[in-house]
Amino acid sequence: MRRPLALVMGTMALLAGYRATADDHVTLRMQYYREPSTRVVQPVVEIEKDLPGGFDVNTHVLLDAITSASAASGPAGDNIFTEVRDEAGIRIGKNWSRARVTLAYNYSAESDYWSHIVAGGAAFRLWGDTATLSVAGGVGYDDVGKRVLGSAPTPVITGPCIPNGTRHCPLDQQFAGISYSQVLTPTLVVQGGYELALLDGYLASPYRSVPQQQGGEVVPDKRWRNAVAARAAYYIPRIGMGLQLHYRYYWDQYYKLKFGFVPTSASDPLSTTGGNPWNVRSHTVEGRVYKTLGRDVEVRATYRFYSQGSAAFWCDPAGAAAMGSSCYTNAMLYTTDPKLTPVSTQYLEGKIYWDATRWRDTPFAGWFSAGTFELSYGYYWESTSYVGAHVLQAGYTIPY
Amino acid sequence: MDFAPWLRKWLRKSALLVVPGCAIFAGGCAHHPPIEPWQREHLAKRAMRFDADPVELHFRQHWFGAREGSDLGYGQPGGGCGCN
Repeated sequence: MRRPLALVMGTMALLAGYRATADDHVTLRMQYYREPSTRVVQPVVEIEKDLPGGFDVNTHVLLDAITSASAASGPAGDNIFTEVRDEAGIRIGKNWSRARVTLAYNYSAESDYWSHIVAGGAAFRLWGDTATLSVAGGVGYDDVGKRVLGSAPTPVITGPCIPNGTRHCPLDQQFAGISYSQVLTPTLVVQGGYELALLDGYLASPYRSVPQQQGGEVVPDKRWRNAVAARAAYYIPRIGMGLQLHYRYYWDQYYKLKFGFVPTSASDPLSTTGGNPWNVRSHTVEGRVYKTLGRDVEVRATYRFYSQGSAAFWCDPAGAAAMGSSCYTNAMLYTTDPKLTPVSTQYLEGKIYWDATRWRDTPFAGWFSAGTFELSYGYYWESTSYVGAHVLQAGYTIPY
Repeated sequence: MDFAPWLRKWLRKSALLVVPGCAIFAGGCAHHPPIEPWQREHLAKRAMRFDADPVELHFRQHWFGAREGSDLGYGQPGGGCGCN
């Protein structure tokens, strides 16, 4: 089962602003992610085409083949299973001299998760083309199911929605964002932005078990995510080197429709967690160094550090046991989700871009000479039970 | 004004963005004349764009979202826009 919001934010990232790549192009990519418990192979095709009247269209199709063999990644037991997720998206843009408007739709499907996302965005160039103001927003409608091996359990038909072999549960999302980027000098650009997402519905994993509770996890049904981010890019022409620094602060909270926390009783999770059972806070810092090597080659080094605190309703079973108590006595919310515990991760990656112009006069290979090849390898350190992952990506983009 | 505690907290955090944002905004207004087309050579470079590779970004967000408890903030495109 996939993470719901990642697709939303991927859609948002593609929406507003001005295009980075050549106008008409095809990109082929293969992405590979391997950690001890999970392996992901993801081929992607992306096509972009300019149309008359200032319109352009971008489509992508990808396949996620996820093989997992660990209870830590979802299902109980040590069964090895492979799941396939299909995703397709289309984005239509319209350009004016100082503005761009986009509309996008994404669909993702796997055996136990279906998602529709509709989003729109607008970007405006300001101050003599030295600034860009971008806004975007949209809605997502997800449906969460559960694959059941063997005999199907009795459907749950009352109380909170819990997916099983015959029942799906909805997850609705609304998201929006605004960002502003400014060219300060011919070699310095800065950007700041704020994004939010409201999630309402089934936010747990139907596969994640909490053994002490004889059942699955129970998490709040509403989540308001927020993030502010700042970025800077600086180029040093004399040595052909570019530097980027990104910082992001994230916080989330529970919300009610009337925008105020209304604890109802001493045993209510909203009361026992000070009105906010989520309360995840995180900092992310990322640095990138770009360096051109000759006419055709550019390399990039990336380092990312991420640190977060736990969700307020998460309880450390070992810590509670040491104190002579239990996490699950009278608990109304409980989870064993590693990403709701205190988490820190680091990611180090090297990447090379190669413009294949050198092949121009070579038979057969010359067909690819107008494009750019990319190859990257990174390692992802994780403080949780997932341990770490190797990440390999290869791609080719050709204008047409 | 008597704001709810959550709103007070939210405003305080938003100020972290708004204050530097205003400074940047004012800096932009101060450009006179603006950066000319022939000065934009470096702004179009990959190193100066925050959205240089949307497909890669999409993949990264997917895996970070699956392994980390936070999301969002990876941004909408923008950057220097060397185009003109």
